[in-house]
Amino acid sequence: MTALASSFPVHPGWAQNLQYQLTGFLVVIFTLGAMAFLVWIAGKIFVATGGVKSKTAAVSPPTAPTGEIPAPVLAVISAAVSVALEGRHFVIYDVAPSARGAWSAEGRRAIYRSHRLR
Amino acid sequence: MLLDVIRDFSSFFELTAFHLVTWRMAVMWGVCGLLLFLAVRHGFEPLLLVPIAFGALLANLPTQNLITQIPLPGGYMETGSLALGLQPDGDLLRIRHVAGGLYDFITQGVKLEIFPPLIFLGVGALTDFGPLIANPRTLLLGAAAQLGVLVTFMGASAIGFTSPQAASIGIIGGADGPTAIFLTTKLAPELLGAVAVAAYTYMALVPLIQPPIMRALTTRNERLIRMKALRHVSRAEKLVFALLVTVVTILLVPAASPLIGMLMLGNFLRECGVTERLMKSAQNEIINIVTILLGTSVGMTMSGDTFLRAPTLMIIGLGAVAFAIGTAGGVLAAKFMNLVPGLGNINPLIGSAGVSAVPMAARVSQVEGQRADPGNHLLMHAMGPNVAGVIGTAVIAGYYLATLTR
Repeated sequence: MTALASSFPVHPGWAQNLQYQLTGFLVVIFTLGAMAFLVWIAGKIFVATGGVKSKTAAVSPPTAPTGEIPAPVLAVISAAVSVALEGRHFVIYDVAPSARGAWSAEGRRAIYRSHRLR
Repeated sequence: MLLDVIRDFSSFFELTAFHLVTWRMAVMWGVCGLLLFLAVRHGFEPLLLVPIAFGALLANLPTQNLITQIPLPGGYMETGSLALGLQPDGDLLRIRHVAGGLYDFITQGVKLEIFPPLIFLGVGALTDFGPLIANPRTLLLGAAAQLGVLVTFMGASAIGFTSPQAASIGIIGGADGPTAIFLTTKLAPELLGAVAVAAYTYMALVPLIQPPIMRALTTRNERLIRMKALRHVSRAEKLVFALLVTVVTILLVPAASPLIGMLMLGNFLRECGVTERLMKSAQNEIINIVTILLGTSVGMTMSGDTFLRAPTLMIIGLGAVAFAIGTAGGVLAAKFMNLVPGLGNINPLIGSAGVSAVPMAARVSQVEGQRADPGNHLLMHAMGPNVAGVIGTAVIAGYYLATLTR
């Protein structure tokens, strides 16, 4: 760096500039690469020592019910409806699978609602 | 009597500032009006563009007791200069008086490079590095997206800008306003207004600039790639990350210390769980107050004499190039990583988020991913390279500072 600082001209030539930029790119790649490696190692240690509970499989895609909906699922749906209606009185008459892509539509709706995307 | 009144009334007009208005000022009123229109009507980064545009309006009015402008060699104006009156006191010089308007004092926060690191404190307190920690390879995407900075430096240098000026223009491609201001104040303060306006305008235009490039560089099959769900990251791991980034980055690129140090301090306040009041201050009061002062101070540098020049147009053009190349760099890096065993299964659409612009660029990845597959949620995956881009831009700024500061 010191050599660069003392020698890099105000108006460099093409080759000199290219060399300078490649060096800069290597600095960024090396710095963030080293950080990625260290973070990866730290993550492995945390997972191995039980500091992190694996939750990658916690959410599975919903499957269409083939028969009766289990009572716990009905309870969860009722609770969700209650929260969404902010405590207003309601009666659930029917529970049916939603149209395909409803989750993604809800995600998109949430994003558009909270941010002004153009 | 009546004649006296008319004479007094006409002499009053000599005290007004109408005769001090120049055509450059009038043109700049139009520029300020355009910026305010974009910010207020279309929501273009309003938190930054409104203070900048208002500061620019003040800079283009014949104000008094607001700011001092001193012409510099090259025709540029030095703004925010304090005059100190000194008197000898034995072997010491004692400050007799300090003269300056309101913004002569406030802009010292930019000149002394206090405001950008304080903004980074707030950004750190607002940022969840969890997605990056869960998938650390996305740090490489944040590094690859700096390609726009490097290529634009070369382009700016080729058309006649000096190396420090070219670095300040190139950093627009990092899509990180505080870093752009930080670097430009140090290397090319005469370009501060143009660089800041270009940086924040293009950050607001990310949803328009990035999608065509993302679609052009990816196949439909690549856009359909579903990434593995991110693992849970514990609080302890986040704290270790903050310390690790601080130590590693400052050891490797010490010139980036003010930015990285404050970014990670803010993040440590957020994650440690015992400094809730400090965290909330950093997330709200500090960043909001500093944003007002920083924005208006930057706007103050946009006097017509400085801004209405050919280099300003070139800077705005080069800024777009920087953004486009940075976006392409991130996407291409993700495609390349898919070819490397052990690094693969990355949807290239998240690569574009490596240009910082948090969280706008990540949201663009999400929207583009859902356009190809409505069931594919890329938002959290894209947050990894997005926050990595902030670190990457600070590192490349540190590289330029270390090598170009005379």
